[in-house]
Amino acid sequence: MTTTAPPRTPAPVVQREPRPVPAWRRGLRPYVLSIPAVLIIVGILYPFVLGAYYAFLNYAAVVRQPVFVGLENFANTLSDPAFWSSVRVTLFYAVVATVVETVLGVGIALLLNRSSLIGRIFERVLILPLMIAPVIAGVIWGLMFNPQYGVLNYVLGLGSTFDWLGETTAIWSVILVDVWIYTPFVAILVLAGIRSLPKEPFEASAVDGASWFYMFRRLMLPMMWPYILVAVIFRFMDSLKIFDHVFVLTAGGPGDATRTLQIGAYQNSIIQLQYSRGSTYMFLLWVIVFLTARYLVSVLGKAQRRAAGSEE
Amino acid sequence: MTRRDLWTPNRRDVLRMLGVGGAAVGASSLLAACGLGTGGGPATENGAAEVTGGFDWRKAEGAEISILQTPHPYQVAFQPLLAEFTELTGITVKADLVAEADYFTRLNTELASGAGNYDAFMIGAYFIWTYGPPGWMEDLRPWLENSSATHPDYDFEDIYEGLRRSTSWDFQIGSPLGTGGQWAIPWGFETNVICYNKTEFDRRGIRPAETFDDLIQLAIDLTDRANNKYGIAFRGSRSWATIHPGFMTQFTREGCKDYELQGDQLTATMNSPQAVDFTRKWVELAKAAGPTSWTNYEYPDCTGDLGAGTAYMVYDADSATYPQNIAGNSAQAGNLAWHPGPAGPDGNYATNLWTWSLAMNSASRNKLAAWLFIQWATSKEAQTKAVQTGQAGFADPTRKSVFDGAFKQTLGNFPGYQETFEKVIASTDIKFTPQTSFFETTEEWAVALQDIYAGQDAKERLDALAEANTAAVNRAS
Amino acid sequence: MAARELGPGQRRFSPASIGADLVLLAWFVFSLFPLVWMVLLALKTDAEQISTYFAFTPTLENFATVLSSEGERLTSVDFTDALLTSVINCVGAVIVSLVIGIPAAYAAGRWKYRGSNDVMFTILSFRFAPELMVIVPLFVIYNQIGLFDTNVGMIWVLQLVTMPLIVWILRSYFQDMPAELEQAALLDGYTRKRAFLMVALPLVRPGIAAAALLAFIFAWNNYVFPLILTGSQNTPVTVAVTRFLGGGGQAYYNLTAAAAIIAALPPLLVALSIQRYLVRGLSFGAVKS
Repeated sequence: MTTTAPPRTPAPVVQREPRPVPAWRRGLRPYVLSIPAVLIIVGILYPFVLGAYYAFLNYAAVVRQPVFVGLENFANTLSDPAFWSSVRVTLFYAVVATVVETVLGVGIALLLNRSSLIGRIFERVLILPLMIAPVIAGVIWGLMFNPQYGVLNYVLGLGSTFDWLGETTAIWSVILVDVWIYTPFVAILVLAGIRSLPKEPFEASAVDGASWFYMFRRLMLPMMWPYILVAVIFRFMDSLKIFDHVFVLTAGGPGDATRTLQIGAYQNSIIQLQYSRGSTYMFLLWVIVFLTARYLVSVLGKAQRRAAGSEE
Repeated sequence: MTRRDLWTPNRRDVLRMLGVGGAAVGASSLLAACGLGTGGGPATENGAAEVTGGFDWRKAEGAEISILQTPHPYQVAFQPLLAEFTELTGITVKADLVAEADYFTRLNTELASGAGNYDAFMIGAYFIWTYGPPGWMEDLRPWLENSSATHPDYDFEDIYEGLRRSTSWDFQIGSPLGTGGQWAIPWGFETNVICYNKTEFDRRGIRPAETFDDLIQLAIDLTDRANNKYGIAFRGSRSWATIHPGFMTQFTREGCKDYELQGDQLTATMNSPQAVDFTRKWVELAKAAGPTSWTNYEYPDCTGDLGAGTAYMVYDADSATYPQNIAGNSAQAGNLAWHPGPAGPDGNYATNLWTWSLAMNSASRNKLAAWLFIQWATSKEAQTKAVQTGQAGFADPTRKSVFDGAFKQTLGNFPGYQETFEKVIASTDIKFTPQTSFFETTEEWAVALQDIYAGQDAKERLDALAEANTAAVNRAS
Repeated sequence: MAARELGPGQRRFSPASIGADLVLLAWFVFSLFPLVWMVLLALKTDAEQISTYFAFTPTLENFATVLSSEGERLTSVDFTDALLTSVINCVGAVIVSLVIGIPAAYAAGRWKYRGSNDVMFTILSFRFAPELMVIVPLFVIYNQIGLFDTNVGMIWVLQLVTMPLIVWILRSYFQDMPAELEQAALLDGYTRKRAFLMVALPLVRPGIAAAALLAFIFAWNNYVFPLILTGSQNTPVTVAVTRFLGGGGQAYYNLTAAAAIIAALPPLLVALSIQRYLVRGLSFGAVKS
């Protein structure tokens, strides 16, 4: 059996049996390795609990004596149509943005994997939109969207009356900016994953006369799923919490068309100084993120197992 | 007034929290026990009384203060002058800057936490209504009245009366502005009037409108969408800032009022028949002769369009349009002129103002030094210097003597600016009824405008708004 | 350039391949146009910044202003200092996340120990917290313990951004990594630790490169945390860039664009230097026989 194993540094001069490690220590190892990672972020737990606690008070800057109000804030918020409108906007945004970015990202990764001329030239610049902070991207796109002096209406010949950020168009435009910024994130992740896949199964399949499409569906996709799902999880979670560029572009308007949950929270807490109301929004947002992440992670687990199975 | 900081529990509270769980009964006594509402740190009292002896600029020599600012021509004008302050007083100043869009987020957090990182800061009048009640700001009246702390020639009354009134309130519903403590000293301010493209107007042989209906007609006549030109720009974004400049000014001129006091409750009257009529016309003006993306327009967009020649008029702050006429700043520099805007039906020129003022953090550890800074920055000498040397000008100075003196000299290239100012200044102050839910209710007002722009019926929408606002205004204790 | 080798089932110039190239081209036009436009904006003077499209007189003045003492006067921070602060914060954050996260990812990826999924989910869950929820209490606490406006404070807070990303990406790589190579090293007498360092780690290099790069970028572009948690001493560059917008009358989009371009250079350099580790890694397939 000849292998092309990676070159190894010479074995140590003194050959000895490795000392047997007691079973309990071996069992403890993974926990020991993982604890620092959890610990270092535990410090964040305290402010988080504090922030969550405000949701149970009637804390606002003008309230002289905040008192515990139990679930009153939640009752008020959950019966407020503005809140549910925010939930709708946020979910719509997250789902559409994530789906578009995943499809585009995977597509781009596959196309780049072909290493065509165009691909190799442009692969270097794939990452560029990620280099611009979302806040700044919001400013730049805002300038481009402006019907009066924006370059988009000029170049696309839409005249000075087409409003990219009007009541019906605003949500699509902010999603467009999200796609512009974050599709490269998905593409890079998936591309790195594709490139680390073993070549063997594909070569074997080709010898058997399989078409590219068959190979993609049966071999590549199952093996890529784990990488795709990591990208999906991160994108979905982040889009649920989206704030930066949307606030710059529309401040949640017109009306409530782009008022995502974190924007609503910001307006309550920071602008109106109603800390408790803002905290309630954010607590509920956290719950939504938690539940969807839990679901997506279990899907990831299943995909992982299927991928491991298909490699046999 | 004692200060109340953002509450953070100590160890005892955390243990109790974990034990108590969700029981409401235990919690209220828990909160009372850990002093929620009476401040996490030591009660901070007004520092003016401690200052004794004769006045001396070097009374706080060696101190170091930090000030929080946001980019603005006022800040730019004063940056080089800070060294002079240090020379005069021996106090070093560290100036920190926060982008305009985030300024109040940062200021909020700073003040609420009681951290005392900054001794003095820039503030707008409406923010006093929310930062004042929790005791985050130091009352400056005792400082003004303490001759040991204030230079005898300071002449506080030299500052325009409307400005002095606007930064003073006693935080009681129904009390007008001008009662209670002095929470900030006006540093620079702006009136809301019309700025228009004089060259274009002269070319067409027209003059700015004197009544609101004429203004509407004029703007519509000037609008030519095919050539990307429109008549008048004003703000429309989803923010309280949309209501406060041109809208509130003309609203008041037309005889409307935002709230009426009935007994000890305020009732919203932005849905009175005159107000509905005015609002409807205002929104239609935006549709017919305003920017296409009106619901996103903030003042840089408005002034930018004026400067580029796309809009022929702007109804907004005079200090915002002032820089557009400085050579090199915009394409239309040199072609602009100012006008008070349409008078009300009875000929009144009621005008709403905005003032950037300087205030002191009640948690400051260097109050005397901070007061010396505020005093110096709003003094005749410093303001005069800023007007003369400020890179983007200094519009408008808050002192009558400085306006009549140094500032007038600079207005040669700003046709109509002085006449406009002199016409409106006597009736310029804050036209809003002071109330602690200002931002919530005024933002809702802007949302209502956006909804009417989107097609909702004005009367219905404003009735809903008035109902919600009346509840919100009277809710705060 | 040498002609690329064709994968199985691929033909060189088929309609499909031309179509594929067109799609790629379309994406890159969409992707690069705003950046090109941003560069143009950075080259415009104040008067022309919004009144012109493609015909204008270019100037490099804006870049000079951003980096000079004039820029410092407009933003109250020296731009090169801000760049340095960002570099320290982000490199520090990524290094800390790697040092602590790689063992955790390895443990979860190689050994499916009991509770590994829960630990992984806990790490991920720190990303759930909306920033605004934690920012105000965090501000209070940082002031109390003296971490306000410090590099250490920012590095710690940035762990919220970098750690989950690094751990989760690397776990996938460790899961895919075949155990045989490590076993072989162990049989040769290596300790577990050396086997890990000499064999496992190099195998997941593409993963480390991708994770570190993405984590660095997200840390670099983070805005809300430095906005609230830093003051005048340790201002990072993203906060400094927005100050150039100005206020009170005129917005300086051209200066902001110039500043944003300069601020994007360090992450770009990092991306370009890591690129070669992102290419096809050591072929696992060779071992599977």
